[in-house]
Amino acid sequence: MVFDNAAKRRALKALLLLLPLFALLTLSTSLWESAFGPLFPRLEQLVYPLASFPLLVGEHLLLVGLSSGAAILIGITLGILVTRPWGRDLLPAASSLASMGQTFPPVAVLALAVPVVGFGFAPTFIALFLYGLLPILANTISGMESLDDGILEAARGMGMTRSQCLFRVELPLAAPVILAGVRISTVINTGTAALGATIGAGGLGKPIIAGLIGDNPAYILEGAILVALLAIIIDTILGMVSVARVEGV
Amino acid sequence: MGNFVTFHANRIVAGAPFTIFESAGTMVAAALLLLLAAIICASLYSGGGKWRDYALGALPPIATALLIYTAGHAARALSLDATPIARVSLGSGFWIPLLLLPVIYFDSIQNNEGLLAPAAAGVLSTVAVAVFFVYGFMDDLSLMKEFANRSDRFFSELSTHLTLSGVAVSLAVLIGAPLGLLAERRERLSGPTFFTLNVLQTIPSLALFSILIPLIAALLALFPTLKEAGVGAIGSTPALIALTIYSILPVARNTYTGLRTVDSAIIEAARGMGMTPLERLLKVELPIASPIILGGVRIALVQAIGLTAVAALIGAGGMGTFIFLGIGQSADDLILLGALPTVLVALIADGAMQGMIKIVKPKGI
Repeated sequence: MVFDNAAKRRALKALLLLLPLFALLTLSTSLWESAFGPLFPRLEQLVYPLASFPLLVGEHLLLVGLSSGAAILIGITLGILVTRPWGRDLLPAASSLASMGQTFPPVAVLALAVPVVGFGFAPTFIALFLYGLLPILANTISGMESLDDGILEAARGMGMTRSQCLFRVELPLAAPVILAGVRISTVINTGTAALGATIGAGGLGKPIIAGLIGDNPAYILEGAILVALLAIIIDTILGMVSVARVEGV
Repeated sequence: MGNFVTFHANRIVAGAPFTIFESAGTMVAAALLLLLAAIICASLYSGGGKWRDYALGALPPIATALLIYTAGHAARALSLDATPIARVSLGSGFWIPLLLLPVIYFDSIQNNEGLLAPAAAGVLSTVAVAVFFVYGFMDDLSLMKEFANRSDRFFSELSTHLTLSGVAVSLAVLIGAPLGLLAERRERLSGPTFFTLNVLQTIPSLALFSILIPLIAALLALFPTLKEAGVGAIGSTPALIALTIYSILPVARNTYTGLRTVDSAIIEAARGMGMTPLERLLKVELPIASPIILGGVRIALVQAIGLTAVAALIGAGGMGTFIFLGIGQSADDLILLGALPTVLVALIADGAMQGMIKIVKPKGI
């Protein structure tokens, strides 16, 4: 699918609708009460009581932000290292590790972190970081490998040093593919972070799990609607960033 | 090698770590370490030509089998003079090589010409590992003790898992392929179609699975006949719906892309030969697009196998049952009993689909 100005405008319009909606649903508990009151007349408790929504959103964003931030930093660095002349020996291993690792189900990675690290924030962070690393590494490698040799020759011919070549030519040209990897990785992490609630990580999965266990559809809908909106917002923003990059090249 | 196995006096207490030499004995440990050292040397050494290819293709499966045997052997040795409630669990010294060896193996298969040695070593090692498990060499490992306690349940959950993901992907092919075809034939529809599918794909799995519970409950309240037909608000109904929704996008997108990549000259030639549009689609376009379409099915299948593990949270069963049961009881081995087969099934499905794509690829394209 081609990204164009129309797509960017559509994304911007969607954000103008989604962001206020998300803010409203996060900040106002009376809104949920008035919506769920008539829907679930038999429920005694309509709003998840154990933590406020802004706190849960904050926990969720912290988890995703830290793990995806680390994954972006390390993933792109590794991708650059294995595509340098002296790192090329590791390229086949890195790309098969990245593609095979993505076959691992995110739930399994999360579950396997528990025996190693225990419960709570740390294992969720580690699982999200490791899992988020793979699409970014894979896309950095494929973005770097797809560059036309002629362009690199020309850059070198203009007297650019290796690092100038990397930062002014290779990275900008590979950016759309790398950013697509960042987008996939961050959106998957947003979803997997919700599962982190099962191992005590907090975040927007908490009301969902509490609702599933306590048979309270209101809690389920609150957590599910907020985390779905959050994922769609993050996806839309990162989609717009990659459009902007494509235009700049 | 860090901690190869951990010995627990019972299921609850913290364990004592053992190295591979302490637990498996000098001979077995030395044999395994020599083999691993040879593989590491071969993978770091870029010369050697044919011999290096043979080593990297054939040694990793053999080392994997030996590694698994060593773990069983170590568990047996430690359990000899322990009570029956003692547990021997596996440590990083086991898991790290177990993760790295397949990477080296698959990497060598992809980059080297000769497939006979790696294939033979792979088959032999798989048979050997199967023998270890079937004939009880591994029975003293805590993972196998968890398995022995629930082997009936294990196989029924495994079959639930495979059925859920298989049915969901089949439904997704039935819906997604025509949708991709429609989007390709009526370009105007492609934007809204893929926009909708993309948004659905973005929704976190836990959210989509659980949102469906109140939605279906509401539907059931409106149409009680559905309830009599066996539709339930929890369990396999919401699971199948969510899994199918997630699987449609990869199939539809790849059908669309696959059909678009067919060279227009080929379509012209088919038209010139007097083929009807339906003949063109069935005899020319679909065969040429089939590797890409199957690539979409591959993504959908691998993804569905992973997502089915989440479906246990809404009472649909599957391998996730053990994962979340294990998390609830903080029983690591129960978590592994659910997570490892899920990973293995995903890897096998991925490999099988890759093989199928190679087979259907039309000659000369």
